[in-house]
Amino acid sequence: MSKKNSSQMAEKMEGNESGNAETQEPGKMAATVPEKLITIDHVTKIYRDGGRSAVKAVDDLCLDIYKGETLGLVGESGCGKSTTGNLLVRLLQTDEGSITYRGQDITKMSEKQFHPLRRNIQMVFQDPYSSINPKKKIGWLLEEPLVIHHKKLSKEERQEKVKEMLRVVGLDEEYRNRYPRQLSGGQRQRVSIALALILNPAFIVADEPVSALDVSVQAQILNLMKKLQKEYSLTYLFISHDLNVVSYLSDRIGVMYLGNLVELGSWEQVSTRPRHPYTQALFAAANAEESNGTPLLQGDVPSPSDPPSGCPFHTRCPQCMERCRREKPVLTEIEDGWKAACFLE
Amino acid sequence: MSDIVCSLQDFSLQFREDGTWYPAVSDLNLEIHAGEMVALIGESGCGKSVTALSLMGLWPEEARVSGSLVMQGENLLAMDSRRWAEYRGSQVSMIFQEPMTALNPLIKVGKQIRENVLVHQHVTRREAKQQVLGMMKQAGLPDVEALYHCYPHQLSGGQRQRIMIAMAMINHPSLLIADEPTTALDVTIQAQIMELMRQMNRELGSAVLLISHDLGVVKNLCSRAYIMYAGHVVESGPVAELLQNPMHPYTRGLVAAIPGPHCRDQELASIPGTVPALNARLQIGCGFCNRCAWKTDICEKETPQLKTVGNRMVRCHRVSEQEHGKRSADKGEGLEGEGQNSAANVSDAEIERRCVHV
Repeated sequence: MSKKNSSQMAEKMEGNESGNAETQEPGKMAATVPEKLITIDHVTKIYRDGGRSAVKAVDDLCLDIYKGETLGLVGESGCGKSTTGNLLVRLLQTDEGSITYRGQDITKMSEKQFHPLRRNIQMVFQDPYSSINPKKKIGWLLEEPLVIHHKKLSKEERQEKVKEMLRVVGLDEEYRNRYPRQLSGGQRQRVSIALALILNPAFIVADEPVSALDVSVQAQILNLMKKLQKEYSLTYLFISHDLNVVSYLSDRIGVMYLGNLVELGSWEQVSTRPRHPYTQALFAAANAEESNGTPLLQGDVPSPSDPPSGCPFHTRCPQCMERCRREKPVLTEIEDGWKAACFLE
Repeated sequence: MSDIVCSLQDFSLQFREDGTWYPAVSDLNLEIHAGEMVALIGESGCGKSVTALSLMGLWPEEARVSGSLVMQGENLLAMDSRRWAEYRGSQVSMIFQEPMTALNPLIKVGKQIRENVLVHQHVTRREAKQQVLGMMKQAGLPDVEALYHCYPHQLSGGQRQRIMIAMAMINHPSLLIADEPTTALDVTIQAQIMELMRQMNRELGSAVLLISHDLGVVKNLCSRAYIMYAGHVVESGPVAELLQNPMHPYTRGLVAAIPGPHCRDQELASIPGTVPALNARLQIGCGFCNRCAWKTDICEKETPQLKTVGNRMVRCHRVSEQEHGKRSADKGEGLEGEGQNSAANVSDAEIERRCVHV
């Protein structure tokens, strides 16, 4: 693509308050006070089953996501981490609370009002085999978001952008003419990333983007995500159950258990000096060798449809006290920016 | 450690596609000693699961099998279906990745375990039930009397996997094959199941063949490991050594590709490309050579043989006793020119440093 062409296109694609226009120097950003990109304020999501039962998938969640960071969200299945991701891209509606993106409350918007924001908030899904339409060619798939969100672009300009995007994610231009089934898992995940990136988003929710991939391919995708974050000043919410991956990629880590955020802090605080007993057990289980002192957790995760009273973790907590059975601890600050929801603090 | 429970020699398994036979597993040599825990590691499509299934006599009908499979002195390839039925579940048993799909959803779990006892032992139903309850208790299940009458959907994932383990161990098999037993489970539950397998191995003395793609899981459980790539074993030896000083370029790539807090500031070493599809594999030459940074002319022309280096076996033209000795003598120097072109531009010294962290 020629330079002239690309600047024209950039003009046409404006109105897309893209993250990279404002933050050319990520180094500078770090020095100033981090800007809140997304604020999750007392958000609750309840899944109802025709009035018979209700599952609180996310329970009174408060969380800020800062511009340019990678926030890792970890937890076991059913802890509400994916629900949180889906709420952020409005694939699900919140039941209570608000989610603010750059000062605008996206939970109260109509679909029409939210439409221009959608291009700024994108998602990469776990399974590249089921998240891409198998009946369309890669070129068509990548062009579609541009057709919807950038009506001013001509067909040639769109195709230029598609080619550019394929190059960015490390695929040959020729892949435009292929179907998803002709691609390997890693290549498909690259296409998913290109799909999320083609509208120049500021924020990407990545829901277990590498867990369906083999180790050697996983490393390729992680490297790509890290590189793209630098180049496009992206903010990531990285959802994963793999603690190695999360502590490699994240700046901050949030730990969820049964719909509650139980610990939040920098990756270093959470992964090397975890304070909540659940976080301790989680990291101990992942590094079984170095954790001779920490006992294995007993029992199973309680059913989210019938959560325990008091602290949600008390049924499995090795340090459970009388108070934990009655009262629910709130997230309290331990140090600057480091929080845990436990009475031991 | 002396008596061999299971041994595979020059085992090959081929599938036919469009009239041509393609090897899914070729010339596999593997030995498991009594009471030993051995791992078979590799990425999807490398042939590890089909090898495990073959030990149970469950290779697909359209496959062509050659070589020898010997289990406690008995040649498995010569067994008829009646002998197979006696053999499965008593001498060798298997647990699978997804316990929900491996259990029959319509039969109570206790009954499912009991069936295995009644088929293989001459006991009354009541005695069988007592055995089942005892084994369920040993598998760490709570309130076994009640659980005996539960259906699989009433149990959690961890409990189902415990049921699977109880079912597999009830006849005290000499070999337990575990195909990715913890992949579908959560981290804390995964740790419990690993601990249970270790305990079962200790208490009942069954050897374990663990199939996995996760080096971290293997590290904590097994003493020896075989690394497979595209149907070949490319490296084997004691797990600790494999992880600390991997020799084959594929193993090196795998080990260095494990992310973690220790390498946050750097790019991860990754192996370029992907595992070739079955019908795209080279018939001649090293199966890894199109992704390998050490590739030379000979790699394309000749299929490397497994070489013994110290107490390990490596299938690579470019690894030899001398070079290995040299490499350990001056770490960081490595094979000539390797620093510049090793996988994903991560220097040899760097890989070495990361290996220590694994």
